[in-house]
Amino acid sequence: MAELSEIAQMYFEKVTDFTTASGIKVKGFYRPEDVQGIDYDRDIADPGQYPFTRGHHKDMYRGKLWNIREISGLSTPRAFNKRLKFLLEQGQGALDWEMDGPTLYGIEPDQPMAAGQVGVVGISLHTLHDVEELCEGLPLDQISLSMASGPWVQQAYVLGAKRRGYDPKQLRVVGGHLHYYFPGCLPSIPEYLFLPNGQISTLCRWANDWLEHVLINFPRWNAWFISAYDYREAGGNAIHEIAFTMACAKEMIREMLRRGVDINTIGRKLSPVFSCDRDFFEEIAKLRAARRLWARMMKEEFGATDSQAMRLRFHIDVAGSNYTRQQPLVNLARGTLGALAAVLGGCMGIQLPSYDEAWATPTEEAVRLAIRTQQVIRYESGVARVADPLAGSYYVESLTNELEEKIKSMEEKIEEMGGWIVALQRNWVEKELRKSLLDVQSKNERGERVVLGVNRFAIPPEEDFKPEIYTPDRSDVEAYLDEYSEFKERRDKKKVKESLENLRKIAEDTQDNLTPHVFDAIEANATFGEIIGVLRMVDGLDYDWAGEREYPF
Amino acid sequence: MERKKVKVITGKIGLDDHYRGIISVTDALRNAGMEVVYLGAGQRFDTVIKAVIQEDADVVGLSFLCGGHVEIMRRFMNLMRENRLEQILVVIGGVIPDQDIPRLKELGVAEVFLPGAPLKDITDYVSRNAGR
Repeated sequence: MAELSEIAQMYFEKVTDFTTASGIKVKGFYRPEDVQGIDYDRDIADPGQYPFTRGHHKDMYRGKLWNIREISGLSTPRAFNKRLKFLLEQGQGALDWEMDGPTLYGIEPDQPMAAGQVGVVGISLHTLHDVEELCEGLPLDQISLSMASGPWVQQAYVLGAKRRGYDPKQLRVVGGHLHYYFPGCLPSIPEYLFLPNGQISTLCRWANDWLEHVLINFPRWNAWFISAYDYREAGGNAIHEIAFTMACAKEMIREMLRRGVDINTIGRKLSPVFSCDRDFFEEIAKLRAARRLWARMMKEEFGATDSQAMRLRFHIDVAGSNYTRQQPLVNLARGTLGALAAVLGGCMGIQLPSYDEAWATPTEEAVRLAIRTQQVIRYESGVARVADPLAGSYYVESLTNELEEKIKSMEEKIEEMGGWIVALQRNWVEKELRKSLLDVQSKNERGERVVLGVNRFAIPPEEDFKPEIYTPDRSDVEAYLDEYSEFKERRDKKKVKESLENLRKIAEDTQDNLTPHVFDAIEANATFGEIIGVLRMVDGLDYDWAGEREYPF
Repeated sequence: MERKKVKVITGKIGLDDHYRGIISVTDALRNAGMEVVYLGAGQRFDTVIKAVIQEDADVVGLSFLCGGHVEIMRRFMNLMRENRLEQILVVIGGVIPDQDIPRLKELGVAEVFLPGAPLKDITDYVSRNAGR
């Protein structure tokens, strides 16, 4: 039992932290004068009206509820195909494919570097054949699919769907975090973005080429151009998150405009993924500010004329980094608040981490609880009835304004520096994130930022709840690897070689869009690793990043 | 005579981008007075081994989130032995299921720190056991 003096102290406990997570000082209460400069029509307006502060659509969730899009991805294409069918049977209309490490890095599954990581925390996909197997029997024109991957999986998906008789224009795809899209990712392997001489890599050029192709050719795709969630998980605060997204978007929009893509086409199809972290009101205000900033940028800076191109639509990943291993059931409460903030902020989709994610890959039961949590908010809480219910709150409007100002000022700083690419190349972005991360960490260590179960109200480990741990079923991986080797042996090697050589030549000699040539290589049964390897060679890099393989042709 | 500073190599090997934990630990080790070389995430095995040799490190600290920790550590510890680096203290951390910890220790990993471990526990452990 606590000491008597501690009990007395707890009774008189009061709020001592008057600053939001991003460092904005807040008052004890807000009054009309705090929102004095705000003009309703100019700055807030009704939902679905410029500048879209209150939401992208006038009906919001009365028109369509947000997608429950839990992360999934495991094992081999065949095993995961079964899981996808199960999820569809459960009524989940929005699917998500997460890839394993080898797939994301373009490492072949039978390389030593991939050992133990094939089909772990994601699905393993390396050829068109894999993607076809994964799609077998799925109603591709009926589902909304998101793929956090590089362009190779997305291109193979288009080809796989075509082979099964679908018109790619009918596919509803949320592009997923486009890996290697140069302004949008913080990769571990620096040469994926910039070469040692500072030039943009061919892999990045390919991602840009693919983005251009998607914008022009696939009307139902949301090119999920940036995972701002990653900036958050890397340590950034709400201001970093939105400012970096805007700076990255500017870079990308300028690149697409340079390529001749219409600004309205660009604006209609971009959709980022944001985070919902733990500072409830700041997260809601951040999402409102982001919509307003986006609308103004598209209209005033880039001259978009279609109001749909000014509406920022986004998916939310609730912040997994707030989850603790200690007292893991408390994560259910953290997740609920994060998802509630996402809904009150007007998101289009939510991925809610399962309570056991600080322990391991979630169990089915834990994922089901995450889905049920979203459903409690959807069906039981009543919060989805009204669009932007917090509008007009002196505090929320004032905080939205303040965040907008601070985000704008960070955007301007990046512009002055020379833009997003320069900020990345100078390591300014990384330094900002690191500074912010270490600040949070030191507040945690000093107990200034309460983390329940860690620096307050901790309990002895033996008394703590131990979740059941998911053990990956990797029983089919060996068979998959055998089939993979056989597939590589069986294919028409002459055709593979020709397609790869052609791709390399086009990349070396021209500025042509690489997309059709990558399609050719995928269709000729080149592996994703081979395509990535060839494009690395164009830049004078080793064929294989892991240094384990030579160019096989 | 001034005692030599403990030298630590930190980073992440392999196909895993999540580096939040290792950055915090790197900073804490530096603040605790150690000399730390942070290699970054997405490192190759040979890069880490080379760094251990070139820097004459006392400690290697690696972090994992994406589930490949047992296989990666098996290979890494073999390489350490092949390069006669058995005396170096190897400490890892990250999202690692409890049942994998005994297997990792059998491979020669000295200690496994899990999410939420106080940074002081990590720095104390490293300074107590480095160079032993």
